[in-house]
Amino acid sequence: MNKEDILEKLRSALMDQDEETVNEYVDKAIENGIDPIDILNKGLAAALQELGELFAEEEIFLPELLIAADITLGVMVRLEDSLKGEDKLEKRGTVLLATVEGDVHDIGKSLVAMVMKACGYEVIDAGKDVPNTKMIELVKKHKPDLVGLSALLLTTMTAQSQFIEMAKEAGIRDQIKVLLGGAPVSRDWAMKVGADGFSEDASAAVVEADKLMGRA
Amino acid sequence: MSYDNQENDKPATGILGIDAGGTFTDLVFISGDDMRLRAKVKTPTEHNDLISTIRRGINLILGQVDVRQVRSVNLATTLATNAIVEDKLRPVGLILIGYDEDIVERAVRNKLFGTNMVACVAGGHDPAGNELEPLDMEALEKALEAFGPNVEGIAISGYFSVRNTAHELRAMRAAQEKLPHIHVTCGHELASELDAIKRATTTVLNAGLIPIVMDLLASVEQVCHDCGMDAPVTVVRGDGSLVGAEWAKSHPVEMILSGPAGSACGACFLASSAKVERDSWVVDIGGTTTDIIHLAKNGKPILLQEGATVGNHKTLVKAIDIYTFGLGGDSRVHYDRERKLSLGPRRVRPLCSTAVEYPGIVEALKVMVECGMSCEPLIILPGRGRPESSFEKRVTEKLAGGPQPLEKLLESERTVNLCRNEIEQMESRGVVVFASFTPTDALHILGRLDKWNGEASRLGAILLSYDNDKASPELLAERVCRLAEHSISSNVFYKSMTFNNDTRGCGELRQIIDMALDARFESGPQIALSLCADLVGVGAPTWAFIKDVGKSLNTEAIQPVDADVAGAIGAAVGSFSLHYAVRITPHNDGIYRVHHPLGITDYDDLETAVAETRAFMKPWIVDRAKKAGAKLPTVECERMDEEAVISGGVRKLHLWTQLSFTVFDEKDTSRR
Repeated sequence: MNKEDILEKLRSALMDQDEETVNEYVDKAIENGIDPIDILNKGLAAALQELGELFAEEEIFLPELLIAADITLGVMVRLEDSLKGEDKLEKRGTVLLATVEGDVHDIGKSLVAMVMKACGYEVIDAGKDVPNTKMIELVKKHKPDLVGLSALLLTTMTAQSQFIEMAKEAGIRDQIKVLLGGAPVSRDWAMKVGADGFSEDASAAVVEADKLMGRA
Repeated sequence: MSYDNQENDKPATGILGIDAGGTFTDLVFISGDDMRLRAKVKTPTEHNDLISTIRRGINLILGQVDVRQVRSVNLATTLATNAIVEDKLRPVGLILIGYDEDIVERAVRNKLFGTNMVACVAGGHDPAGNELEPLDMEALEKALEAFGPNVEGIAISGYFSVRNTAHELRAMRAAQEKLPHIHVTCGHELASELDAIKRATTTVLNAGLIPIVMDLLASVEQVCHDCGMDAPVTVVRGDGSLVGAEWAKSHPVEMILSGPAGSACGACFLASSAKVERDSWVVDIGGTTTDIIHLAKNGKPILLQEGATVGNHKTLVKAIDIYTFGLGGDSRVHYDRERKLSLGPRRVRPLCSTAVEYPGIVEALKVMVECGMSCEPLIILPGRGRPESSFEKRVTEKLAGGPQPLEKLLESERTVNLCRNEIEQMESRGVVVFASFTPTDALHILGRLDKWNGEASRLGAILLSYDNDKASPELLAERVCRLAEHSISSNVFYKSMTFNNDTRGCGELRQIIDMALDARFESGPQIALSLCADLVGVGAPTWAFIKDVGKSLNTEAIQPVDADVAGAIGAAVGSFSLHYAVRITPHNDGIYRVHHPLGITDYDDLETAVAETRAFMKPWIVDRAKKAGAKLPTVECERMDEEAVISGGVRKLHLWTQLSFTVFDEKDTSRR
């Protein structure tokens, strides 16, 4: 079985919320020498992205999404050790991540955290349902290079634009690069509300972060 | 005095433009349908007595113009910029409403605001305009009380006041009641952008300028009255537009950079008189620096969106976007670390003009040439600063007998390189003054300028050339001129390719520009770049370089006549404009919120919100314009709806709707 097929099967298994099959294919993937990052990104994250979009379109509902997320978390814990950034990796920058206020979906964000950490970024994860006032305090305290905000609902997206406005008003907007993500978020939205970047998934997040840090 | 052919007795009325600059104050009179220059006057500016200078200038020009002809007096002055840069603002008390204490503390420590008298008061709003905390009136009263005897101005800035003006307005009323003789400025009056620190700074600078500018304008009005001139005084702002004296007296911070703005507008006006097809780039070459300013087709300068920085204060004032770099007629020509010939950024006295004052240096240079020396012809002259170290005192003593070449001064020193550094430091402190080879000297050698002692220039060039070229100082002079022209062309291209100070990719841009300008290949550059705009040159040394710059830019170079009074002309031909932007934002509960000058109002649907806002704002801004000096205000309203496509590409989210109101004055003769 070639690598692409394994990843394909992995994605289907997660879409079906079938924990056993997922883990079976994770094993197969490891055996076949597939990079853990690809397992996460091309296997799980891609499926989660798909599920997220279906959720936004109201084709599936929260329990289904949560089960898939839970399965993914389990896999992430399994792969964590092999993903831990080697000490030799030079620090690429500091990123502060959070899911916006009123929103409790954080799988995507956790995935981003994991992948960025693996790529050498220092990640500060503020968690979920984080009020913008707290985000401003965290920016002042940690002075990150990047701030990543995730929102999964149309109603919570506005918190992203409000954060940017609050950063501008506080005079700290220029000190950070703001990256937006989440199922309903688009590049058009991100640019129009004044963010610096946008990413669809975890690996795109690293690419975008690298570009914003000036090392495209 | 001659007037245009008039059928009746009345001579053509016109506009008196005044540019009260740093060195000279220029006055012009422009009249008639063809807006021609009828009279011009130049008088040296007395730095400490601007009003006498203006009075003198007005009297001079009234010798050529009938006072009844003047229908408007338009003034451009560097007063506002200078007062900020020279730290001459009057004392201001700053009230901050709802600001974050950490951020305020840092700003005060870094002296960003422009005043140390800062009081923080609870209150403020969120980005949606909702009140976060009620305004603490008690604390406000206490702060005003404390400021009372110590200030000449009050600045009030509230967090997110641009989204809801309520707290600033209440605080202003309280301040006006408590301290009726002190002027109060509010943040939302000056800017509608976010960045509470920059907004507070802008407000403080405004408050600190009010007493100074009020004085000046009242005096100018008095002078006009005394001369029998019945004309209103209008003031040039940093974006090149005009506004009445009353408005300028309460919004003086808008006058920053009005000098260069007027100059650019004036140069553009002179250059274009007939055709107005394209944008223009004004290149103003001075003695030390060159300024590049971009004007749109209509002659209006392009503004710096992020706000002007004056001194080390970052403001939100939208003034012209000037790109300045260190190259001018008196830039020091020397070899850099890589032994490449380079110009500036330091300014020095040219050898030719120095030799007129100190003929002895010609001999000194001859001696160096005869010794076969090859070095920078750097002559050290005594300065006004005090020497400190023993080396510095030695040098100053040696200079008592007159200027000396650097090489001679260091003859008896052992640590020659260290001494060179020390001398450079002495120059920065004004203990000594440098004279060396400059583009002005190059022009003398090439016979294009004949004002001073060209022999000193020739000797300087010989010293500066490498062995091969020593026979021909003309070769070096040509190289210097080409370098100057190349640097100017390169910077114009570079500036035309960048937006909003975005420096990403600047290295690559510079490379492309170099490839188009340099003859790296034997057959010449393989690509060509053209500036799709007119090039207008102003400034004393400009004539020497502008034609070649135009050639490199593949466009027409225009050096307008009367460019020496471009600033006054820009003041005369400026036009009135006032604007205000109102934002309407959608909220989750289906509400549309209008953020207007008096606070916020909510509506159930967007079109009603837009219609009622238009109905309210038009008379409001017309009234404001009339108070600002407009005779026949006409309002234009531009609506912009911003939407974003949501992921999936299907749904669109309405972000905001902006109504931009601009007022023009019909009475302005239409220009570009």
